[in-house]
Amino acid sequence: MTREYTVEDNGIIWYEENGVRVSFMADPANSDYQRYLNPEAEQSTPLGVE
Amino acid sequence: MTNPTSNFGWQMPTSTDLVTDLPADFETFGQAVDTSLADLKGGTSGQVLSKASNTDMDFTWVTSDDANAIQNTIVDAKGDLISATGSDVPARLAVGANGETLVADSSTSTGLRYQAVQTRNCVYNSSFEIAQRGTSFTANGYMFDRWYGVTAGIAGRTISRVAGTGQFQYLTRIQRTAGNTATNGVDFGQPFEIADSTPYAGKTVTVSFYARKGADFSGTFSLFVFSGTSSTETNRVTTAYPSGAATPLNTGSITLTTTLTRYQYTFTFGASVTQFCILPSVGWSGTAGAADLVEFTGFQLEVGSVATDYVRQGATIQGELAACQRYYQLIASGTQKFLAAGSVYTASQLDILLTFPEMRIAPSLVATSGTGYYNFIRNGGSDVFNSITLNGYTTPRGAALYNNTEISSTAGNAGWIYLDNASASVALSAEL
Repeated sequence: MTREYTVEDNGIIWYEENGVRVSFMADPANSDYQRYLNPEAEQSTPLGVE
Repeated sequence: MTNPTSNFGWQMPTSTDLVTDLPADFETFGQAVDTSLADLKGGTSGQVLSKASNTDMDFTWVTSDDANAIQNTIVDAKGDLISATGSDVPARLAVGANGETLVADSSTSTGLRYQAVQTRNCVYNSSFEIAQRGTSFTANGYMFDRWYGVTAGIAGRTISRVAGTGQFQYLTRIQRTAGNTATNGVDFGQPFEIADSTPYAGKTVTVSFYARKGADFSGTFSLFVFSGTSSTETNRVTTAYPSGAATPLNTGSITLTTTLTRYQYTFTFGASVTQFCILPSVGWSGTAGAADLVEFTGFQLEVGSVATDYVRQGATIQGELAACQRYYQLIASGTQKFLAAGSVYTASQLDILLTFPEMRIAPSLVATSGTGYYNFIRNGGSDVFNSITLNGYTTPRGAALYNNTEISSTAGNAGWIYLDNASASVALSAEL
């Protein structure tokens, strides 16, 4: 699912998903900001068992 | 020469004795010598003399134990200890490295092993006592504090915290719903930041945990440790695979029983490791029965090649909570729960002021939104509003929040804010 991000004038970025608003600063150390920059970076397929 | 002799008192002839008396004198002397040395007679091959009493010349022949005595040659160097590999079998134990301590280890030939002093258990919330986000989950994301679950949205998978047993108050249960036929697995891991990972570079460590299976468990359970060398903080639970092999640890399928049992695995981190994660993983087959599940707790990762007694990372429950709050802090949740103080910046903007114990980074704000979730009490009245957003200037120790969509007040008013819905919650996240 693609998230819709809003960027405020003060630089804060936020999205809302399942009734939860997540807002964050543009900080490279922030994992929410990393996902904003590169939403495809994380994998989500469990290993199960190799 | 004294006469009688100085030590034994044997009487010898004197210079004035008549020659005719010499035979008798020598008989006296010889008999005295014979009597003194009587105990030296007898004995058998290999026997040695032993004192029979404190009396002079009172000896007896006894069996020698020299053949079984520990010889000097058994030790080779400073610090060597004489141990045993079995009954009546002494053995040398070489000294360990500086600072190491001696521990019992039944797997070694001597039953002893030198190892580094236990540093600590580096796993956060290793027995799932801290659950700020809740106790039951089905979707990808952080679940119990510091633990990230990956279900990939497959239906019929639940990760929950259940009552424990013995020394553990809680277990994590990963269950496939009865009747479910999808075999997609679930991963449930903990990522470690660079500051926590780097001290383990090049170290031999042991990871241990307690686990059991449900009566209907149809699948397999494994433990992986993924590591990386990046200088950028990374959640290795979600980024380590499927691109790379599980290194430095892939246990393969672990045979569980229905009894909670401790398992341990020893491995060595690469010399350049800067980050890693531990990742229990469950897979299933066939159609799920009523108890198609696994349960585990008590994770411990420590330097050394033997699992020592389980301890929390944070020592106390408060210490554990504080350690977890470096990454996530639930500020408030529920109906009529105080949030913070605030003031009206403009007629339509409320600023909310938060300070908190230092977190890993300036955190994200994770706040539910809904009609009437928040209430601002000020100046004899109140403003009900629906959402809050992080403002700028956030630091790891403080943040300003705001709402500018439902507020209708007077600039300069001050007051306080509370949550007013069972589903309302405000949290800060500085997770990887």
